[in-house]
Amino acid sequence: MTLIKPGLVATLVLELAFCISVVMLITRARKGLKVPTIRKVAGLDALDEAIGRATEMGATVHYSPGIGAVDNAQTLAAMSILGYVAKTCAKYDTRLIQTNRNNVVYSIAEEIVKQAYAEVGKSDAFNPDDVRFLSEDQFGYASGCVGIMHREKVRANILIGAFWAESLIFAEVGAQIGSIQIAGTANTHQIPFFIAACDYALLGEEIYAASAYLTREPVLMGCLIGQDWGKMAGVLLVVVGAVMATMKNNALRDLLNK
Amino acid sequence: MGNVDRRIIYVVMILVVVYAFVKPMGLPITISQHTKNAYNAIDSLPAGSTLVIGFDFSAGGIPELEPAAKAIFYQCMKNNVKIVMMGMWVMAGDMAERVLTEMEPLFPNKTYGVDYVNIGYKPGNALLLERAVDDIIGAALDIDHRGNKMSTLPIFQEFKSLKDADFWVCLSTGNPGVPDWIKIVGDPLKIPGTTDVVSVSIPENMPFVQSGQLTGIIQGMRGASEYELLVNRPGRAVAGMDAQSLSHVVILLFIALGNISFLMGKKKTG
Amino acid sequence: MRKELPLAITFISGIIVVLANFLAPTWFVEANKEVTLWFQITSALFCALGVVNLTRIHSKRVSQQREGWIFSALIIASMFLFMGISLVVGQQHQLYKNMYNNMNVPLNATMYSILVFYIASAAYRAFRVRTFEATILLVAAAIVMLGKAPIGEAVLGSWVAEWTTWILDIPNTAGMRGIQLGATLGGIAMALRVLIGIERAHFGGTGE
Repeated sequence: MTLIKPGLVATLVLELAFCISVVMLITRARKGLKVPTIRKVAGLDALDEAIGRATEMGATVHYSPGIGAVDNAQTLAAMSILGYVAKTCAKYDTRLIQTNRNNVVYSIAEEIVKQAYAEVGKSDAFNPDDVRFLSEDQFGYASGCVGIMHREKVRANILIGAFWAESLIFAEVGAQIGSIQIAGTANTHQIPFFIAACDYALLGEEIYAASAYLTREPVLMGCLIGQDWGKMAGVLLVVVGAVMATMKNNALRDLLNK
Repeated sequence: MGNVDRRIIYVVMILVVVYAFVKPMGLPITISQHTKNAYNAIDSLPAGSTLVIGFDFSAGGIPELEPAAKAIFYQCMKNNVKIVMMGMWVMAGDMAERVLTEMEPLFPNKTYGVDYVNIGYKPGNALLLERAVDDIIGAALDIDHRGNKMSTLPIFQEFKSLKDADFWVCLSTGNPGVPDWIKIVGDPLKIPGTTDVVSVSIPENMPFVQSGQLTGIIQGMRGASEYELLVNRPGRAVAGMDAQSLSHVVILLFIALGNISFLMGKKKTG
Repeated sequence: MRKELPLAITFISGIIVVLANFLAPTWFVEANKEVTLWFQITSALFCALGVVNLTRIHSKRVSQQREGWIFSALIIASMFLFMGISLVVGQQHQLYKNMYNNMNVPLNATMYSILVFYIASAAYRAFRVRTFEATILLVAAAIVMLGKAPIGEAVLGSWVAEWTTWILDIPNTAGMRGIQLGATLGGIAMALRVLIGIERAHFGGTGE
């Protein structure tokens, strides 16, 4: 009886190699050895600017982690950014309204925001009514968010996570009411809408870099660099494979199909 | 010119779309190769084959996906290909019923439970497909969307799992959707399939078409209109093409207006 | 133990799910099915949380007669009415189907349809020839929009459709592959960080 399903051996090997490179960089960072720096990500730099602007205007910050479930990597990335945003809002006494489409995500988000307020010593300022579950329905959630943006004087709109068709509804309404908007998603079909309607857009994997970028913790940075190594290896495979396929050599393709 | 009130844009859009439906222009629609590939693949299925349709969309996808679903159903019934309808989305069963409500009267000689069946939505997302690969009745908890015991329906005497499918079609507006069908059904079981996706999802599914993991692709409402013409049954998608044409032209005109104003302003400031 | 136990559960269940995609032994695949079933059960329990949250927030608005309280009353009433009817008569009953098809479906479709207006106003605002890249973007968008609508071919000729097909098949697919590759690797790295406990934001804290 085979241990590994046929056709998946190469995939497993590549995934293990990727994970090992990430773990190696993490270990390197833990030992205090130097890890490469990462480039500027304008959207993440703008988080402080957006919250600051809402603070100056006495307005509200709205945060949406998208409509994905908790098993979606983008939602987890959104939760790590939410911690930072909530802490910053708590520090500056800026009202944060955090909306959710999923019940499980709502319970996690409530805990994150409560913890953020506690970490800056403002537990009393935390209002559980400002972390809201709106609707499980995609457009029910969208219409709820739009209503909140209009009614609650939202001037900083942060949309990071897994979005689908409702993305343009949020982004366009935010633009119409004059909010500064920072959006990010790894759903390629929604990136163009965020680019068109938002002030800052995080493309694809930039949202996964957020926790490393915002905290600059060596361990998280190491993980990010390991991820980039994996990407470079992928690019190398693509180039070598393309050249070989052009020369009608299927050796690499057959190897990867094992 | 560069700062047209958005309400004017909205009013013009409404007028243009309504006009297109009231006074259709009947512009010719050429059939793309991708749609032809999907159509030919389904058309080549021998009589008695089983095609599985995944209704992985909600009400928002109706204009773009439902016409293709009806056209495919029509094609299969004409060719005596059986259809199993299911879905990973909550509205799957209702979306399939909408198709059946219109199509059943056209085929009085076809019987529910024998020639076609609507399993409907069952919870589990991609897990539903994984379980259905081994045992579709178990995965669906032995009950279809109409409340019938699936094990008593004749269609399931031969169709025990997704392994028995000869072709699959995923009608999808998001996740779970096409990648799950490819990952769980298409690639491992080597069962060919195609998809109809909303226009905004076409770019992200093109890599699957190029790699051969999808046999053609029905591209949004335009693809659905092409499919309706291929089965000789022009319907809502064809009717919607004029509205799509005019709305695209309106958007381009406004973009042109904005750019003319932008360039004129740039010229003035030097 | 408060932090270690959730981390251990995360790691064990995550490893089982990941390896079940690759490993063939039946007992492993069954273990994966068990884990994912438990996930479904626990996430179903959380449905109640959403109902409680909605009821709490909106009943407060109603009792305090805050601005727009009538809409809060409507939310609570419609939520419990729908729940009640589906529990009493079942989802196959004609009453439930009528409510679903005549309220939920059209409302969904309406919100989706709003996108046509928003796309128009967003495109009008965003597609300006500020830079060379923006000009290329605008030209490509114009070609694809005309190519996908019958009016493009009817007025300009078949070249529009051919160029549209080329844009979608070649540069678009290449770009999509690149973004999807990066995003997928990013997702794997994110999942790895969660599995080994480096990423802990979802537990209500920050990283190490």
